[in-house]
Amino acid sequence: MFRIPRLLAVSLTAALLLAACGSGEPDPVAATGSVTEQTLAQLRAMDPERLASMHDHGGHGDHADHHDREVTHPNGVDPVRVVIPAIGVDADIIDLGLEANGEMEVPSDFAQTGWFRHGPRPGRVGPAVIAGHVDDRDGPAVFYRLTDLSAGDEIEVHGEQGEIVTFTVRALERHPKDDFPTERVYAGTAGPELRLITCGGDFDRDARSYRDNIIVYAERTDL
Amino acid sequence: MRRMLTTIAVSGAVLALPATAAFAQTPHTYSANLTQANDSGASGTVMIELDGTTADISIDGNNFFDGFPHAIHFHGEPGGDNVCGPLNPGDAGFDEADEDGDGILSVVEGVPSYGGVALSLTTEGDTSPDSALAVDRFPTSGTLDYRRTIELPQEVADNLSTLHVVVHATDLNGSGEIGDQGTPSSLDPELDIEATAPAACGQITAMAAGGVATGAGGTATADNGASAALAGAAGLGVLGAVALRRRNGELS
Repeated sequence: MFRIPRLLAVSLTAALLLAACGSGEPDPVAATGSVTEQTLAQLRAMDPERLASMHDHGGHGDHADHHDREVTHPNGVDPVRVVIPAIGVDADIIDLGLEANGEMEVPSDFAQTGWFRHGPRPGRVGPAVIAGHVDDRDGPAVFYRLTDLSAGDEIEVHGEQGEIVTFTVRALERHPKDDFPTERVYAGTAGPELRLITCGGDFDRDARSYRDNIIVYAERTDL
Repeated sequence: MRRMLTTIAVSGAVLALPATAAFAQTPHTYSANLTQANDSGASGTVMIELDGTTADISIDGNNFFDGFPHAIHFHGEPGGDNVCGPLNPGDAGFDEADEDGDGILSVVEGVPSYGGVALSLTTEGDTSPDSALAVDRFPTSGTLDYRRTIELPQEVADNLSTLHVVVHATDLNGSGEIGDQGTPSSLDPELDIEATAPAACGQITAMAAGGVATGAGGTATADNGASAALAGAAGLGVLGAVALRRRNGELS
């Protein structure tokens, strides 16, 4: 592959500088003659496809092997069950997608919870989201006691193969559904986190829905 | 609108709606929060609105080096298990990732965590991995100010939530210039590492819109309060903006 030797690159840069001085046009990117300008000229002179191939193939292997020795299930689990001892929850987890209006689907079975399958799997970096009903038309449902959780309570998420990842409650919040904290719930996080969501606040009998969502924030603590 | 009587099958895979969607909706909105790498002090937000394979992408940054091309890519194996990984000295695992022990996370040292290039966020023209270092087709401003609509490869569109955004080029020694760190770039020994080292990384995550309809009112009390929510929340120090209040205006 053609690559300009450093000396020639510097000479080319000098030639460009003289030309630039003559034309009076400022360099649109970097101050003329600066180190930055020289670096840019150097980079421009290199073959971009060669650099691109170095980008992906220059690495020395996958660090996931190292991680597995110290950390269990660093990539999370396919969730099938959630256990929350402090409030007596032991429930199935189904997969949930999005409705046509972009809102999260909800379980049709009030005894089941659902994991937002377009988000990260519970246990890997990012915010896993699990939702469940607070009540059905007659009485309590699976997440009825979510608001009884305190900071420090543990949440276990079980995977298909029986793996368990454990989270610890950090905070609980209540927000109106029409002012839902979308970024705080769904945006990327530094480590593996979990959000449990149910309904709360006033029940609007005309709309037949609760006005607010209760959100429990938890972080993975078994690493 | 009555929401709680959904007709989703127990597997939860499909929501049957009258007349409109025949299958579950794929997410429209994704975002990534860019956090600094190599102590660059840079940060930013990436928003992606996806319609099929057409993505409207906007990137707004803070404190990136102003006046040098910032290569920006989606990194990772679509559907894989990549992460941003340790990015700054002092982060857990950074010393292990920093294979040559120079205190700088180079491009190739980051690849085992965030993976190879899946898409090049150029300002025009080709967006394939071949354009990963197409230096004259990337933003150069310190705030990035990137706006483009790109046709994504199908597997990238289907797996955005497994990819990460990495922004490259940073003034590692704070000299005000790019190219005087004195360490070779991992992509070419003739090039200074400041031209290519990662400046920031962010995990792409899918967003759902609005709230979640998870209640049918069976425990709501006669005065329209939800007994469960009010009783419990008082004990835990609710941090949300809404104060606890019954409908009749009393604070509880």
